[in-house]
Amino acid sequence: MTIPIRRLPYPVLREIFKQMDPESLINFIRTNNSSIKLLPAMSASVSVNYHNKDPFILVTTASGIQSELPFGYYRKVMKVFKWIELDCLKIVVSDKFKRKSCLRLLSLLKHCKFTSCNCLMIQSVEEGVVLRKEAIMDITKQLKTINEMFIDVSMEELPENLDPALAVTVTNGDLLADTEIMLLEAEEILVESSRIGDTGANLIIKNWIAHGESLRYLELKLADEWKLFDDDNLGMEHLLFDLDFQVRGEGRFETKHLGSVLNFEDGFDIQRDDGKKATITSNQQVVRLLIISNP
Amino acid sequence: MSVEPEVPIVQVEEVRENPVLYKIISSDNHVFTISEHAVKLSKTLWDLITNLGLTAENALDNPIPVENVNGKNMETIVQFCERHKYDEEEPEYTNYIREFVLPEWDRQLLSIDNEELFQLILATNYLDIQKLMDYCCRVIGDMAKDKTPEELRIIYGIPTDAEDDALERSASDSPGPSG
Repeated sequence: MTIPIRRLPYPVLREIFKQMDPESLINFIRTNNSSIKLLPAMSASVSVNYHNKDPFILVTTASGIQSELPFGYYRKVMKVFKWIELDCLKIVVSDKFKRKSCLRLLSLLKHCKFTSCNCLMIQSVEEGVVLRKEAIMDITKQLKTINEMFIDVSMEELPENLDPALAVTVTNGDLLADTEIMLLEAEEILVESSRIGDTGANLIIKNWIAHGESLRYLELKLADEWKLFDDDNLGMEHLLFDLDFQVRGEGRFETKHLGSVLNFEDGFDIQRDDGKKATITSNQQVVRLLIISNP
Repeated sequence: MSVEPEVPIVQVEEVRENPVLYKIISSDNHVFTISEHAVKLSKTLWDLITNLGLTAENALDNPIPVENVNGKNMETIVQFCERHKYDEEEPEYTNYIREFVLPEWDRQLLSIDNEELFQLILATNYLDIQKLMDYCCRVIGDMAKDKTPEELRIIYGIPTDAEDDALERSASDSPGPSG
């Protein structure tokens, strides 16, 4: 006995699709030529995984239902991209990561109904995997827009030519020099671990004063003392060295960055020649640069 | 010697249990009694009760006819609503992930033949019971697991391309309403 779902009201049919796993949806599309027209665009996340012997992609729908597809199933993967609105693209790398095969797979993104991606995550399954910036740049080229990027893998250089409206989080910046953070064009930057000391942070602030365009918020966790090898200082006098600053006297203030509301009690205000203002705050190894106004 | 204060003993269940009951008549004239908390899971029924102005005093004297749902489906629906009447309210559906696991009790309840399930989902849609709709859709969606496109065509009654074309041709060949 069949259950003739095409005779159900469309809102019900749409709910059934939401409860199907991605591989079933692919097989549903393949039942006949008109089936694809029934499938609504659905938000889903795609994770490209290299940590097994055979790489695979994991597609998770908005209802949290997953399907695992081997890389070789190009035709199936292509069909996935035809109906999803890509919410999050996660690339999980290991020492088995192969840039070319990843790019071949991601080139299928051009079949996506919507090639924008809310969030791009680059993760590593093991320590010691260092990714070259070109790999990330190649990946970002496959996507029209990205709102947020999380780099959770060691890198010596950060990718260039990113969307300046991007929010970038670097969870492991221990191999990055201060110049890499200076060169990163993004609206919001969070570096959760680094080898940079107060002198390096001072140079980053000076770079913003001289050239900063899109930056609205920078949060930088300075190095633990034992990690300092670029920069041998940790102290406010080095952070503010040679800066024309004023102690902020307006008491507690609140700001919203990287999706969180942040509260501050004090800081140091600086102003550029073009009138742009910023506040620098520092506590427990975390330096924040908040750009508070545009002229 | 201590004296126990005179406090009436009230069972927790009695406090939770709402005494207001409603009567529903299915399309084939079966009468069902349902509690207020349970009937609230159906947006359609609860809107009807509110609009009719039914109260604790007159509810049982004014049975609600539901002409689109037969007794068999109504029985399942009443069982479901009574089972889930104290569940926490579901957050509004958004594009964000809302995961759920289909409880075993509900999977058993929905282990019915496909014709019944088809009628039940239509009834659920009419009565606007979100949770039961989710569960029915999950059961129907799960039927597709590990099935080939050919198997899905049979399960979901999907015509082949040739059958689809033939249907389209016969629809276009048939005379319109004016004859």
